[in-house]
Amino acid sequence: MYRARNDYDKNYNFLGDIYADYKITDKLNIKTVVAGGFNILNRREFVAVNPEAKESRDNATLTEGDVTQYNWSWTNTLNYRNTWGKHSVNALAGIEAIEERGKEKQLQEVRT
Amino acid sequence: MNEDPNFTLLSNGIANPVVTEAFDGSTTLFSIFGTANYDYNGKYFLTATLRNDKSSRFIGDNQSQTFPSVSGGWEISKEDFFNTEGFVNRLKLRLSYGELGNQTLPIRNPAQNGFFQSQEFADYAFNGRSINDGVILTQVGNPDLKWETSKSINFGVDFAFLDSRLNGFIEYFNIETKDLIVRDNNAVSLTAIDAGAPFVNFGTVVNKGVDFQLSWNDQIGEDFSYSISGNLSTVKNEVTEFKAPLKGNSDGIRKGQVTRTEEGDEISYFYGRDVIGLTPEGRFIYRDVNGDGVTDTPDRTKIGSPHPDFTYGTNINANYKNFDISFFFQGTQGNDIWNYNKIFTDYGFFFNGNRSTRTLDARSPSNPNGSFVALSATSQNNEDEPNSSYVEDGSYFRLRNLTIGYTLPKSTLESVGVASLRFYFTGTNLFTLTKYEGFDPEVIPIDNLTLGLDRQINPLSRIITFGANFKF
Repeated sequence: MYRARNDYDKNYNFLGDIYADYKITDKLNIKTVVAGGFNILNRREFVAVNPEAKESRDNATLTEGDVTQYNWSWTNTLNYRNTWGKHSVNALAGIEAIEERGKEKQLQEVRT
Repeated sequence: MNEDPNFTLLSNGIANPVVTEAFDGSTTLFSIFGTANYDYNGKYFLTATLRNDKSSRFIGDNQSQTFPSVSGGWEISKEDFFNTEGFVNRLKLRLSYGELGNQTLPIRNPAQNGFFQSQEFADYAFNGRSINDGVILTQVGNPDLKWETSKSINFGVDFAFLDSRLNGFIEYFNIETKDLIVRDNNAVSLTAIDAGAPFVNFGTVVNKGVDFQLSWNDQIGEDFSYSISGNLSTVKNEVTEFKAPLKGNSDGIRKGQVTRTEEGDEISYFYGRDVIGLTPEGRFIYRDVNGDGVTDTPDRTKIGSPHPDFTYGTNINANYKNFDISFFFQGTQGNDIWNYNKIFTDYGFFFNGNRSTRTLDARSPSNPNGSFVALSATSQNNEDEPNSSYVEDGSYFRLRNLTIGYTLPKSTLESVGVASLRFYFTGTNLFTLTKYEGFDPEVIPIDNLTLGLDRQINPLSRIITFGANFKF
């Protein structure tokens, strides 16, 4: 536990979205939404030698790694609403693109 | 210095640091959709949806697929002939048909073979002397992989009785999942090669059942109000088409796979030898399934099902003056769990590890009527291989949440400028009634062909919270 005191696993997470809504007529509006998020992970793990153990390690190992993930989506929708008499219609047409991407690396150094 | 991480940077040390892992990949989804709702006078409802999804996980013509759905409703209680003041206050019929696609997989490019150059696994001396690094296959691709599609038919009735104090719904569903995507573990040798098994569209599974919910709300006097609601679900699962009997994923599972899926039976049932008793020496007696006088590999059979007869939940809420209390109970009935941890604690395979308390009653010369298999220092009589002694009843009943709150009277608060103040206690996972002897009856399987396999997951935590909620 003492030897692992400088180890860490850090996770930073950001996300958000922004939208614009335009009323073309009373019954028709168009909306566009862009949303995205980041996830950044950093880790460090130190494995020290342990001469007191009965099957001890000869080498200390340091591992550091990071992962970056991001995702975005872009949604465009056209919404039509109308009511006449007893009839009511609500129609939506849309187009959407989503991407998720991840990149990762991990490095290890062994010391004798 | 070797012990102090403060001195250790990746640039220190004798050798250069090694990149042990690197990865870069993405998936995309592109969709076009349209949906229309029509409503006539609040009585008749019609909804139609059409969507086309294009996934980067597939290639060529298999990338995009179109999924339609349509649903209708009839609010009978809005008709003129319906008397809403009578015994029945509300009645609505619902009917829907829909198709939905699934492309969520643990890997990004299941249609392509995956390779990497490896010093560790792929060295070959072409001229018999110097060693050349080679490339190994890590994942077998399937260029023909396409969307998994679920076609569901739902029929439901919503109702309310007794001045709308009793309300609920009953719904029948039939979901047929075509082109089910699974890993074809038959396509690769699971012991000799490091490549992941290919994802394939392997068959069709049908889930049909009934969802039922009832809620009762009432008030007694000025100060006491309460509501009780319960739901119950039954699902019958059947594999209606399957290219070949398939074992589940065996990653990290010693002594082989424990589940099997084949046409005409449930998905992922437990498969192994059926233990019917103990010999006087304390060894298992297996059922001779095919009746040929010896118990061997062909005598393996279905020995359990991870599918519950039904699942249920109950919410109880009550308010009395400034106090409020709510319970949420939840459970399953009639499902089995494969307690894989017994391989470490019960049998000869890991005889020098910690033992379970079950072994205290092991049959031995000094305990000839012991109920448990005799202890041994090696695997005897195939006792640690998949057999029915691993299968346990996984039914449980759990108090998932309990909240008790007290809201301070407004009159005492106004003088100090607080709009409202509530003290509360919340307990999560307070108790579980189950006969299951493993850590937690809510198991997390590896994939949909290993349902009910408990392989040492962290049990659900018990969380107790005391809090205060201020509003200014």
